[in-house]
Amino acid sequence: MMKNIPVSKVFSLSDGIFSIAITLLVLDLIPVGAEITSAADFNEAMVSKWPVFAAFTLGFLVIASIWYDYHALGQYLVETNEIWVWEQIFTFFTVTLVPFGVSLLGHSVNTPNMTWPVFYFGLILFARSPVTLLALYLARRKYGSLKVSADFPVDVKSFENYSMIGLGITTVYGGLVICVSLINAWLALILYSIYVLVRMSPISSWTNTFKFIEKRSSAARAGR
Amino acid sequence: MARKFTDIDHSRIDTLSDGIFAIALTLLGFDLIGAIKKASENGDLNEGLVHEWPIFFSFVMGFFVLYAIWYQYHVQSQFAGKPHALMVWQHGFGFMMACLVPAGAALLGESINTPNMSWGVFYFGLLIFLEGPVQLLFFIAMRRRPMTVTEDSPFTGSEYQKMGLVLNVIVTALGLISVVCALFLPWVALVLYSLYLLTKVNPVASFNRSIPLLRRLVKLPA
Repeated sequence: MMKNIPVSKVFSLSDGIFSIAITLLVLDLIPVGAEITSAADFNEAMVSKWPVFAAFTLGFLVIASIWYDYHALGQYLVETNEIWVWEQIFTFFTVTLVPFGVSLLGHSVNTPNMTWPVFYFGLILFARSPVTLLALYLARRKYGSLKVSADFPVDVKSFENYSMIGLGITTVYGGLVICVSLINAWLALILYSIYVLVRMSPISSWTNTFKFIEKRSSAARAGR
Repeated sequence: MARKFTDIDHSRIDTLSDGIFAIALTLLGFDLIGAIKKASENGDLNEGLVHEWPIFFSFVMGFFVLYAIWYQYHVQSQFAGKPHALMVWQHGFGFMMACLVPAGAALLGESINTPNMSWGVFYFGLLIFLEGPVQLLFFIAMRRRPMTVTEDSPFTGSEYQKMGLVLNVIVTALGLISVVCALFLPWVALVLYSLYLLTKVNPVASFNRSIPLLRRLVKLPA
């Protein structure tokens, strides 16, 4: 029987995509250099370009946190299937779109056209959640649980269950926040930033979640 | 929960870093392409090229800065153990600075020999030296959660942290002097930046030479 591609192949592709996407973010800053050096007041021109710098920082944090989250779970995976491979490719698709979203954001923040770019940036930021949720569901139906290494610290099935709940919550949160961007773009940007900050330490998030679940289930067992 | 989720391997960060440094180094060439277009519009190509010397100079500076960061990064990280979240983001900040170098080099190239030179040199200096205070903050934040190091590391994690604190205080002070100098004497600041970069040409020798002093300063046994 033919077997699917090894996990390491997908990781090699991801290394290239993440590093290129994260570095491409600077392309928006390079022309700013020429613009501000030709201005009469250098610092005034530089400050007037703050949206480009803020968008760069936000974009950097978005890509870095996706990369961290991606490898935090990826390190335990031992086998692939076509649904997982295409879910990964969709992740890469959103990552490659981040520099575009950042450019859109950098040129529109503080302008009358701010609403739609913030909306589209939100789409790029949250698009992964419903797709991963769907992929997890489909892969589970077709192949059963994820194939993980022996050192995976918790039961895979319960991990998948709670991941699906987490992805569902993120999808709803993302949907709401994207809608908020159409009414108040600044508020949406704050909510995007909060989401990115929460994802900065995936290992401790999972550890804390499972500690909490374990505490609750042992309390329930003791109650019985 | 008997077992715990463990953090990613350091090799994953190294792989990402390889891509970032390679692409950032290559992006420096973007400004040169623009300069060659301008130079070729001049009647005398060589005169045109000489006229664009700040762009070539800033390319060399940018390349030198990035390469020095890359070299130092790998010299230090070869002893890094399994990272924790703070260590991952400490590296992440270093990569952010590396990504910004092409923009800093463009700023420098466009501003040299113009009335805005001071600020161009100032911001380029920030990119070189910002690493100092930020790494300092990371080392302070890591006091409760020490760095992890490999078994063959010449120092323990806490020794690294103590020495890193002192080293980054020195870098911060040097940086402060250099970037303030850029506002008054940008050419002198460029010389100071270059001198600082020269200390990074051979980071292994620089570290080995500074270790006895650092050990004395943080009161570690010789």
